[in-house]
Amino acid sequence: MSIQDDVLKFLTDDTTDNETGNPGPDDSLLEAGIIDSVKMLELIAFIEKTYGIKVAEEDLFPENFDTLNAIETFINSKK
Amino acid sequence: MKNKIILPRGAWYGDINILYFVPSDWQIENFSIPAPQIFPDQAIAASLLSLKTELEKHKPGSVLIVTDDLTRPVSLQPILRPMLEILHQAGFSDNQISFLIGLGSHKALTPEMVAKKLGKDAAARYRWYNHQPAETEETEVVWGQNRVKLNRHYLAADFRIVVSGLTPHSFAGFSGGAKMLFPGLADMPTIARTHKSVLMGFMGQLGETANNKFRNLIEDFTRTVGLEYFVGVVINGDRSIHHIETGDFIEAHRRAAQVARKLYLHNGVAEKGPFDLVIVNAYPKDTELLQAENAFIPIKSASRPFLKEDAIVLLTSECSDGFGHHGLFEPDGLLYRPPKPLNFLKGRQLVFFSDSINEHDFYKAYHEQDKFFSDWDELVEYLTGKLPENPKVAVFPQASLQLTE
Repeated sequence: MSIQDDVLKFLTDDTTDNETGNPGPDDSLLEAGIIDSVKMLELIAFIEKTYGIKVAEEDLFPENFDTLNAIETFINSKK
Repeated sequence: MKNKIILPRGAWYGDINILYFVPSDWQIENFSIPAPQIFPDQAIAASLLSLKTELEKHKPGSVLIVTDDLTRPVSLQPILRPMLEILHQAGFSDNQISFLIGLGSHKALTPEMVAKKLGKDAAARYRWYNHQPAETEETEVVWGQNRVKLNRHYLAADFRIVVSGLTPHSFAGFSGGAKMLFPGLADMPTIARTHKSVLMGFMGQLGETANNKFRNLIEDFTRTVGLEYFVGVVINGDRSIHHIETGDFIEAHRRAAQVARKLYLHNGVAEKGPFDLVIVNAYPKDTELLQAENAFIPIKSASRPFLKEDAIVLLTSECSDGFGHHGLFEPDGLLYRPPKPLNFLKGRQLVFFSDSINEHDFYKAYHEQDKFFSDWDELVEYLTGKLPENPKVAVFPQASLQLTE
């Protein structure tokens, strides 16, 4: 699976009320209601564990995590 | 029904206390802000003396006074009277003084609303502008990959004064200070980025200013663009002025935040619980439905839970201006999402009461599982059917100001 598939699976695995369908690569995950502050913490832990990278405090900007494309770009830049 | 509770309602629109009857078996704990202690006019005038010094130092040709809007409860007239007197004594004419309402993406104020905020005389005598996110120009501030834009009137002014209240704020700690500029006077991408950063949990903290990453960031931005004088206002539970701090926008804000925190913090709530029903009344931030969530502050700020696991939370708000307006969070706004159950309530039932908003509007902002009532008797009947006998009930009459430990 691609990074985007992995992240999407993680983000939607426990979503029982996903009324809007899966987001596109450039759709805002925040605006789609897929991530919030709690899910964000879980996503960061997932990324660190799955890809063996460290997410630093200075990385914590919406631009790095708000879309599947952005998350993939961020992960690749840290590898 | 012999028991009663009193809830203040209608900030800016009458400010009245309304008595509501409730069942006689309710065991009520009323957590109110202490009785108003009014900051005397002489003390306000004395606090503003430092403005004279700053004017002498800067020798500006014009002055711009930035204020908050009606979603914020501070009435500025007692402060503006002596402030304008100082400005005129320093030689400024009427057309050298203007006001800018720091709206962020809130609704623009009408002349009637401005008269409420500034006072009729000031609203009629001086030029005033509503901030518009499109009327902004680039600054030296760079955030991420973008240059932050700020209101053009602000950037063009010789001497900038910010006058604002300090009320508990979900991510800026307390409102006011640098937050009046960022996001209050910023362009829409900056306003959106601010809220996104907070919604994604990257920064911000309720009721804390000293180690608040969001506030530190916006204070750095404000240092770059400049802010010459700040007046921080702490209000009593009835919106009268409790205290003001003046001077540097960081130092004065910190001092005022300490006063506000002391006034608004309730200790020992958990010891008196756990409660079956918690009533949070949105006053004095009760002008619109979109701001009613400020009434959850006593619950959100609690480090020690005081609600039973199956407690009911009753949110009440006058909603004098109806649904309200927020460019980001209203339907069709950039960050609008279909309503979901509120995470922090952890599955507890939310009940809402207002007799001045309709059910249709309510469900644009709240989830279908939440209950809406516009009739008090029907609400009490519903609660009676859900609550145990002799329920423990906590009442926060000015909940949008009230912090719990």
